[in-house]
Amino acid sequence: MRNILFITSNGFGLGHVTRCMAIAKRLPPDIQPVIFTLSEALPVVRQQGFFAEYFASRDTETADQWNGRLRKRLLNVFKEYDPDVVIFDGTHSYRGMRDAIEEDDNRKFVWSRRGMWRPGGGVSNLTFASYFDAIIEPGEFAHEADQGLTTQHREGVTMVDPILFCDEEDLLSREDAERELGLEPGAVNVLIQPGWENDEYTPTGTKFVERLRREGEPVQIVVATSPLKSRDVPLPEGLQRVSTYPLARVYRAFDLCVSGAGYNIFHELVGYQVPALFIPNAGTPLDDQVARTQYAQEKGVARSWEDGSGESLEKHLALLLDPAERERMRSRMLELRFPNGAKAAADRIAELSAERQAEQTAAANA
Amino acid sequence: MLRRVYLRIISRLPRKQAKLLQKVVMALRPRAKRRAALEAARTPEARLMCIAWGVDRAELESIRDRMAALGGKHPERMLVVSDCDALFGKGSCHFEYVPARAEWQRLLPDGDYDDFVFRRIGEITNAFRAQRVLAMGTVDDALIQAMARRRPAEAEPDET
Repeated sequence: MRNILFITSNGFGLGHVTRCMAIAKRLPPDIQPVIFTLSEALPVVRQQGFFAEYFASRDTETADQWNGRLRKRLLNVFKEYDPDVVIFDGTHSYRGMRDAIEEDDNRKFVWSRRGMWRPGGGVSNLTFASYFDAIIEPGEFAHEADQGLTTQHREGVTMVDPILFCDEEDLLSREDAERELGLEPGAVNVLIQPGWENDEYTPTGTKFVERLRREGEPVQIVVATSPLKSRDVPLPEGLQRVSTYPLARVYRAFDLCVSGAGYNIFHELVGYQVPALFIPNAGTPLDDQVARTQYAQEKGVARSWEDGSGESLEKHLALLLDPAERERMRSRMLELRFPNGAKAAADRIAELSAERQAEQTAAANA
Repeated sequence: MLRRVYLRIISRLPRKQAKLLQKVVMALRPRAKRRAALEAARTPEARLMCIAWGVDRAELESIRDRMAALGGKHPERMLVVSDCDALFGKGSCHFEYVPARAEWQRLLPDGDYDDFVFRRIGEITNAFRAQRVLAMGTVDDALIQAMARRRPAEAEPDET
């Protein structure tokens, strides 16, 4: 058996680990993934059946102290599991990790570098490319609107389609999903899943809920709360909560969704044809969520609510609550559907693993 | 300014040449500066380290609360090491997770889990230089004896 190590940065939610797990579960059976995470999603990773290592994010230590410990831990982890390939998913590679890569370069290092950076942002992040043997760029539905720096640095980069955790066949049918969630059949089911990096959940959520409750026809509202305990947020009374992982499994229960616009949520909703109102977070350091959701609106697959005003919210929801409009959106999403890029990323990693094995054999025979 | 130029050069060089340049730059840094960087990189000492083995989430959470109370204003100086994954989040004791035996042996069927735990705990004790160590839960006698015999410095020589 060969081992592969995924390193995921902290992030705010489950984005990085989800992408790593999506690739990891599509690796050939003779390759064992180890997920080294800085995220509180460790229990989620283990529940999905992956072997995981955890290293707490920096809290009260200085950057030097924390990076020093990270370097040592990674060197020990490299020695312990001897991975052929080490894949880092994140936009900022930590100094401790770069130091460890420098000291133990007897394996292949890969950067899973998402695109769609904010224009002009991430100049220093790009310099990290020299530490890696290969870069894999998870695709972006809105790639035509990508104005970020990564678009100018694609030499030798393996581009794959958008990476999704589930394949279509993993999704439950509407009936099964409704049963699992305890929803009455025949109503309009709305899923609210604001980006969990957005702490202003309650006022935004309340706005939606109040607006949706004014509808005459029966509307069932379900709020997705993060499976991460620390991100638990109080909800207005009388709302149903769902906290399952992967949430995409039950997407077919929903007629529409009001959602954050991070990479994974966005591509899952568009990829599985769920009409959505996206609320882009304009405050992320690199992820250009506004460009992503505006593009989706231009293409007619979703609505983008970026100005936060009551009038535009009214307009968007009126459209989304119209069954004919939702049907039109679904057809557009079907027309523009994309394959899951996770398998292609896994194949590239398997290739690199084979290369390393060959190099090891050649070195042993020399 | 210099740093920016350096980063720009390094980002354009092939990987091997970039590494060579980095090594040269590191070697040229003044000695005092290097020593100061090493000093700064030393993690603060932990006042108490608790090894909680084979405990469930509820037990671990109760251990965390007691340790945090003992830590007073500095809960981060209290360290809990466990094979249970009930994480603490920020603002609580420092937590170190060590993969549990069954999972580890599934990954490395020919490996020696006890040795792995000794090495990992050695690395942690080296980093945090705990003043006192406390074992709770189902910690093997062998593990306790090994920890008592092995001073942190013996467990894993500091490479920095």
